[in-house]
Amino acid sequence: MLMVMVTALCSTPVFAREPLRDKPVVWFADDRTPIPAPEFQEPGIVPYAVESFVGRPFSRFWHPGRFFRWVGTGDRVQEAVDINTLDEVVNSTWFTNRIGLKPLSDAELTEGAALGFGFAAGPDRGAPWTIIGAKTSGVTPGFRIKDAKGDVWLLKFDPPSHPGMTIRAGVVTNLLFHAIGFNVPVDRLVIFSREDLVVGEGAMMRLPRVGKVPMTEANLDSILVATGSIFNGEYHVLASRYLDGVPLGPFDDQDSREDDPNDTVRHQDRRELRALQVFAGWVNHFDTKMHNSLDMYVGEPGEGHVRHHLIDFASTLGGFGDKLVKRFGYEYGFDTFPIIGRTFTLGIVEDTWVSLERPAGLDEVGLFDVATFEPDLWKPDLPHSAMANLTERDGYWGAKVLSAFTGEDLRLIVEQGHYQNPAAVDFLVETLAGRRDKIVRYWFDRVPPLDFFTLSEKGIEFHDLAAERGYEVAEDSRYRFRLAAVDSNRNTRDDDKTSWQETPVTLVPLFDDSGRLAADIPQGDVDHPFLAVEVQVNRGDRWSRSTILYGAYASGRLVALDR
Amino acid sequence: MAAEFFDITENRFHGPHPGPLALMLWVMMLVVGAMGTEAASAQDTPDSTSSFWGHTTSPADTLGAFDGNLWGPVPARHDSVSAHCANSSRPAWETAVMVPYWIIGIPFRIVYLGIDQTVIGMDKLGVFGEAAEHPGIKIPYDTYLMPVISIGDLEGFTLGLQAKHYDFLGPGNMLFLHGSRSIREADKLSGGTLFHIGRGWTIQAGGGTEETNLTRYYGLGPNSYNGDESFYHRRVTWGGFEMDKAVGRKVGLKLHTYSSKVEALEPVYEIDKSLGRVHGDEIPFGYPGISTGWTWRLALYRDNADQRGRPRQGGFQSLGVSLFNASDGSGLQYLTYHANLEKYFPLWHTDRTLAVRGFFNRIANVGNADIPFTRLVTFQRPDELRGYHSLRFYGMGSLGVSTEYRWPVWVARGRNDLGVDAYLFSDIGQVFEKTYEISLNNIRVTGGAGLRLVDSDRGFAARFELGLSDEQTIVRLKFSQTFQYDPKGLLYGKNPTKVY
Repeated sequence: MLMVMVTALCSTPVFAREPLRDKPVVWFADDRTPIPAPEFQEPGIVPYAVESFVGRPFSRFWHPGRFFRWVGTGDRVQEAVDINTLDEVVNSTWFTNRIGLKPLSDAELTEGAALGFGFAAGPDRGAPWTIIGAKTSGVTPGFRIKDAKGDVWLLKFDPPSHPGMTIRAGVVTNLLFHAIGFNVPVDRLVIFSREDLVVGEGAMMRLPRVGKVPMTEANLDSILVATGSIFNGEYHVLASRYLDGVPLGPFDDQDSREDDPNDTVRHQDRRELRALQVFAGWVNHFDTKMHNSLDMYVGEPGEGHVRHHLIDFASTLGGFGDKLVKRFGYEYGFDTFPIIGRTFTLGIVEDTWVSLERPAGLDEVGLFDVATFEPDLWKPDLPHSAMANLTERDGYWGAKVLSAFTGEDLRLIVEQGHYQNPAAVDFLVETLAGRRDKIVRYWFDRVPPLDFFTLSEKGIEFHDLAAERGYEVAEDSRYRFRLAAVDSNRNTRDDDKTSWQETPVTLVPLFDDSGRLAADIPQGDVDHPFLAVEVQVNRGDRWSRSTILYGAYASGRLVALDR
Repeated sequence: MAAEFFDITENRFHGPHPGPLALMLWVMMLVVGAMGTEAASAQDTPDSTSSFWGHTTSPADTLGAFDGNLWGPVPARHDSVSAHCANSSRPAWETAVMVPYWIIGIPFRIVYLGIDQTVIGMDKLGVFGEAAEHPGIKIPYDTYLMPVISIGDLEGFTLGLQAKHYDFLGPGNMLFLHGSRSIREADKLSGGTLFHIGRGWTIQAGGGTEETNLTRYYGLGPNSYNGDESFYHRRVTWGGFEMDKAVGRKVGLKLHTYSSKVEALEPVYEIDKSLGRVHGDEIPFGYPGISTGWTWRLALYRDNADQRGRPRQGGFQSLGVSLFNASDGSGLQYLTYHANLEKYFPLWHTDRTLAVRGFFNRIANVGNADIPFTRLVTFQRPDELRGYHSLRFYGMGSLGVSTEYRWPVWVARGRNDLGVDAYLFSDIGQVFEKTYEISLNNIRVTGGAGLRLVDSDRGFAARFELGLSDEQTIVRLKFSQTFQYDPKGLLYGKNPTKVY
C-alpha cells in the first residue's frame, strides 16, 4: 500500500497553479457580507498555550503532507489563499495594502490609524479626562478614561522599573504595523499632568484578593506616583482608543471563526498572518499570542461584518513588562529542540543570544539589536500556526513590504514615541534599518526580487527591488528574458520559447516602431491566448530562478505572476 | 465502520471514516486516477477547485484609481473586482498520505483530547486565573485547594487534598491542612498555622499523624547488607511549636519544641520481608515498640546565597542541636548535633554552577538507656546518598559530601522565573555507629544525573533524577531539592522527627 501511495504521489503534481484568465486582477476580498453579530469568545491563555506548545506543533511535526511538500517544493504547505494572481495580498477586513504598494505620506506614517479621524493628538483635551475604571494588578497599571468627546481610551503606563520603554515601543510598533497594512487601534503617546485626570463617579478599581472597590482621588495619586512614568514633572502614557464596534474576542492563529460566514480562509493560510514571522521578527514582537488580537463587529446590528485587528504592541523593540528577557525572539517559551541540545551538550555550549545587552545609556530601549538577529530563526514566545506555514513566497512578500520603509520613514515613526534621549531615536532607527536589511537580504536571496511589472509603450517594465532599494548595485545586475505563447495552464505551444536575451535594463521590449508586437515576439492564438515573459537576474555569479509574468494578448492585461 | 474522527491538525471533526476494504478500493482508484487529477480538475472546473476564483463583482478595471500603486492603477473597492477567498479542498495525493497518519494518530488524538479538555475544564474552574498569586482552586473564605497525587514503589498510589487559607486571623498568617491516603496505608493527616507575632518573630503550630506501612530497614551501621532489606510499619504522631526570627539580613534563628510518638509495628504487606523475619537474630532495639518524648531544638542558619532556586554564588550554613527527653518512662535522653554547609561557585558560562554541600549528624546519648532504632540517624533527604534508597543505612551518625554541576536547559523568563536545570551529581558519605567506623573503606560513592524544575519567585522546586550506586539504580521524582532544602516546618504539617 505504501508503494501504491508513493507511486501516486510521484505521479501527481505536488502543487498546481491557478489557470490563467483574461480578467481583471482582484485586489479586494469579498468578506463584508452583512451577518448577525457573532458571540464574544475568548479562550483562556493556558488552554491556548497548551494547544500552541503541544497539540499544534506535534501535529505539524508528524503531518505527512507537510513532509512530502517540503521534499517536493521546499515549502511545507500550499501557498496562501488570500492572494491575487500577481502574488499580492488582497485588501480585506484583515489587511489593507499600504507601504508595500505605494509610498506613504508623512501624515500616513506618523498618524497611522488616527489619520482622518482627528485622534492624532490622543484623547480630546476640551475637559479633564474622566476615569471610569482602573487596573492596578499586574505589572503595569492602567486607566479607562472618557474624554470630552465621549471617546473611551485606555491609558497604559510603563512598569516602574523601565519608565519610557514599553509605551514608546507600543506607539512606534503600532504605527509600523499600520503602515504595513494591519488594522490596529489608535495608539498615541500622550503627555499629561495630574490636573488632566478626575475620578469619575462610580469608577471602580480591582485590587488583588479584594476585588472591586470604589476609586478615590487618593487612590489615583498613589497609583500615578507608583507608575514611575514621570518625565519633567509630567506623565507619559500610551493612550489607546477603544476600537469602534462590538468586541468579539481575539482571533486564533489557526483555523477560522465558525460563526463568521465571511471568515472562509483558515487563518494559517492567510499570507499577512504567515508573514507576521517577518514583520514581528523585525520589531521583535514576540508576544503574538491570539490574545493580542481583537475581532470587532462593525456596522449596524445585522448589517455589519467582522474586522480583525492586532492590538497591544508594548512588548516590542526589546521591552517586556518589568522584565527584560534575552530569550524572547530567539526561542519559543518552551522550545523542545534547543532544550534537548542544551541538555546533552552539558552546558558547554553557550547560546548566542545570551550575549545580548541593552544599549549603554539608553534607558528607554530594551534588548534590541542587529548582530544576534537571524531573520529565519526568529521565533515568537508561543508557536504561531500561521507563522509556521510561512513559505518562500510569503517571506519574500513580507520582506518586499519592509524594504519599502526608507530611513526617513523609520525616523518619522520612531519620533512619535517621544523618546527623551535623541540617541534612543538614532539607535532605534539604525537598529530597525539593520534588521530590515537582514530580513530583506535573506528573502531577496531566495526569491529574485523582480516585481511590479507594468505594460508601457516600450514593452513590459519591471522593478529590480534589490537594486532600486539599495541591496544590490544596479550596474552589477544583468537581466535576461525569454517569451512564449501559452495556454491557460501555462503550457507552451510545442515547447516553443524564444531564446534567452540579455538586457542591462529592467525592460522587456515587445513592440516595434508602429506600436505593434514585434515580429520576433511569439504570437498568440485561440489555444494560446497568453504571453509568458520569463525573467531572470544575474548579480555576477549565476542566473536566478525565473519570475514569469503572463499577459493576455486580447486585452493587454497583465494577468498573473509566477515566482 | 462510519465514525467521525477528530483531526488534531485541522482541529475539527471529519466525516465518516471508510472501513479497511473501502479504503483499499479507494486507494486503488486513486492510483488509477492520480495522474493529472489536479490539473484536469483545475482546467475543467476551475471555479470548484480554485482557491481564489469565485464570483466577481463590478468587473471594471478602468474606473477610479488606486493612486501610486506600483502595479499601476487599481480601481477603488466599490468599482473594483473582488473575490471570495476560501480554502480549497485537500489534494488527492495528500489525502492518500494522510490515511496512515490518521489511523496511527487515533490513540494520540484521544489522549491529547483528554488533556486538552481537562485543561479547558480547569481553566473554566479558574485554576489558572489566580496562579500568579496562589496555586490551587479557590474556594470560599480565601482558601485554595490543591490535589495531592503521588506514586511510590512502597506506598503505591496516593491521593489527597491540601487546603491553604490565607490571612488566617490576620494579614500574613496562614492555616494549612493536609489529608492523603494511599492504597497501601501510607496515610497522612496533618495541619498547621503560622502567625506573625511581631518584632520579626513568627510562630508555627502544627500536628498530625503519618504512617507508612512499608518502611525500609537493612540493619545498623555502615556495612548493612543490601540483601537484608526488610520492612516495618512506622506510625508517627506529633504536635508542637516552632518559632523563627531573622536575626540579621542573612542570619536566622529557629526554636523548635514538639512531642512525638514513634511506633514500629509489624507490616501488613510484604510479610515475608518483615523486619522480624529478615533480622530475626539481630532485631534492633525498639522493634516492635513505641517511643514517646519531647524534643527541644535550637538551630542557627546563615543564608548568603544570591538566590533561592538557582544560586550562582554564596552559600547556606546551618548548625543545630536538639535534646530528646523520653516521656514513656524509658529514661532515654540524647542530644543530636547537625551541621550543614553549602557553597556555590559560578563556572564558565551563564548560570553554570558548581554546588557543594557537606553534612554531619551525630547522636550523643546522655544517659544509659538504649535508643530505639526509629530515633537513629538515617539517610533521608536532604542528608542522603541519592544512589541508594532513603533509609538505606541507620546509625548513630552520618556524614557526606554532595557536589552538583548544574547548567540551565530551559529558562522561561529569567533565572528568577520558571526553568529547568540539568545536573550531574556525586554523593559520597556513610553512617557510623562509632567514630572509628569513619573510614574510606566504609565510604559509599554514588552519582547520577537529573533535571530540576525551579520556580524561584514562587519557591517551587522539583527534580527528576537517576541515581546510581554499586547496589541499585534509583529513579526519583521529588518535589524538593537536596541543596537549599526547605524542610517547611510545622505549618505545612511536616513530620518533625525527620529533621535533625
